[in-house]
Amino acid sequence: MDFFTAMEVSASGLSAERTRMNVAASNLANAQTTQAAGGGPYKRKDVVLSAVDVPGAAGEPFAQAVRGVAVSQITQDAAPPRLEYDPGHPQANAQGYVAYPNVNPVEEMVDMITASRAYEAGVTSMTTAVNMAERALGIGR
Amino acid sequence: MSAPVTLSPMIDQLQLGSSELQPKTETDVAASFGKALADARGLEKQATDAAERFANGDPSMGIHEVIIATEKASIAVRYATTLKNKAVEAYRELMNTQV
Amino acid sequence: MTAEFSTIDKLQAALTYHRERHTVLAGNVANLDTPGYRPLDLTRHAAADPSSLSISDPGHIGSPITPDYITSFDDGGQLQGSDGNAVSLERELAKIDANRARYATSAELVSRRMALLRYAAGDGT
Repeated sequence: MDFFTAMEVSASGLSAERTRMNVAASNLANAQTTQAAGGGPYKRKDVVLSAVDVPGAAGEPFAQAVRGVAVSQITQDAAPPRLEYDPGHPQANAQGYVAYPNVNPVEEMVDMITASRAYEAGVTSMTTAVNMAERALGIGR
Repeated sequence: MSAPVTLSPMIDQLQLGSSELQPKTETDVAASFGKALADARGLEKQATDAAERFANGDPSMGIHEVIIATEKASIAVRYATTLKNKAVEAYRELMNTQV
Repeated sequence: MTAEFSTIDKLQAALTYHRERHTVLAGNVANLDTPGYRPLDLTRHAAADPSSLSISDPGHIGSPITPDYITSFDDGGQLQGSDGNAVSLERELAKIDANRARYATSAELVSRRMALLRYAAGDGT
């Protein structure tokens, strides 16, 4: 199985966390978008992660303990838009409310930070695997 | 050095031909050389096998597996060579003994 | 020759175990944010005889090491997050580093043992 499987596992984590970061960034960037494509305010996106099998581990006796991660879907947050009373606004409705995206910038920042932390941990994990492989190469030198 | 304390049978064997010890008979030298040669051949085959499997990208052949197999073969060949040299030396000694 | 290599064989088994364990621990780190994920760990055969030393000491086991790995959940008493994820990053990173150190040590021991055998095989040259 060698270290390549371990690196595949770490790589899956890096990939998933990068998606989380991108989605959080997208949510933040569109926090004030009242007119998204398809009409209505921007709807917050959410990343759903799930543990997956890693192809390199197939056939190993303990393969079920080798867990990679993948983005199973990117969902739209069904929470209702945030209404702000602003009758002068071009997008104000009949009651004078403007619908803003259901995005909480603080939450998005927290998501970005946790994704970033998880990304760094994944890098540490992968570097360790490389480090161990190099030690193996040094046997007998 | 005729120290009786040895680390392993192999190191034991290396005292063959040593003048302080009772010289072993020709058969012993030949037998241990034969065995060492067989071991070396076997380990060399395993090492080549391992290297080829690794080169083919066989996922079950890891870095430390192939390196260790190669090193073991190297040591075994070295040992067989040493025994061969000792056998030749013992033979020469024998031939030089005036009857 | 086989007798001389028996220690190296045990060390090789340890190297293999630590490599595979790293793969499992890496999976825990990858699933740091996966809802409902519980961290896994890999141990070698459980010591049936309590007097036998810890499995993490290569060469101390009386019986030959078989590739019998036991996978288990290892939350470490970690409280689960609101999404059911029980991974503690600090705990996993600590395990990964300790595991790495054991791999490195086993590799070093193999090297040193081989150096000794190579020296003896060359009859002191």
